[in-house]
Amino acid sequence: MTSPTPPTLDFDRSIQASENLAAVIYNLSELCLMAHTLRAVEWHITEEYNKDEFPIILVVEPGVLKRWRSKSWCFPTASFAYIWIDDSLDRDQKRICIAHEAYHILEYFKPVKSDPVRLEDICDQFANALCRQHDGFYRNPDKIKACMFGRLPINSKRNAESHA
Amino acid sequence: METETINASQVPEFTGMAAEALKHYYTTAKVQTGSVAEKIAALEANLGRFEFSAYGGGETPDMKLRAAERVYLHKQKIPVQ
Repeated sequence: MTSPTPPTLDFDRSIQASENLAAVIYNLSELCLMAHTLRAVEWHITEEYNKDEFPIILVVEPGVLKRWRSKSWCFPTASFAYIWIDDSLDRDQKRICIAHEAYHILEYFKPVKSDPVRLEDICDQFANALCRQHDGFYRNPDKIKACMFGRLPINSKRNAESHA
Repeated sequence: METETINASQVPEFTGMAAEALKHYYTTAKVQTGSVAEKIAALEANLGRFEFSAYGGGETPDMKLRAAERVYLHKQKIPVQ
């Protein structure tokens, strides 16, 4: 049995839909806290420990502080990891917690472990060092300028005069 | 046998649909009346061996169990109130 052909939009409606979805995705992206950090940790783990993939799922929701008496917690396994953050934290607190929990995930895989008695301090050290580097990035006009798109709009057509 | 100090008021259990789903899972795994350690082991059969770290430390077995339950519920797409 063949699958039914999905409905399609005409060109103008397709264009409008793509613009609408761009706005939706952009708004969501502003909520993707420490996305580059989490991607970098995923990459590091897959490279260093020979994995095909290692997803880190971030969940921000109310009730974390109430139920676990902690601003955040992490849950690494051999094939994925979760980070849970309380929704009531401000943006900076959330980002610092993510950085802190990221080190716990890295620690899970390290063949030589950190001092277990002071692991929380060590995770704080990592979080502070990482966030300090993030802060340096945002305060560097050259870094910010390098992130700007120099040539918009793009055109994906082959042999187009202007293309990305 | 592991000695556990369980204070339910400190780590609230899940309720509603989430509680029903966990009850079903534990019943299938034959640990419905089991210890915290047995329930953790039952969840590890589904999630894989895991570690749990809470910001600031002070993890307890019941916090670890509740975290494993939360991950299980999330993976099963069961809403938590």
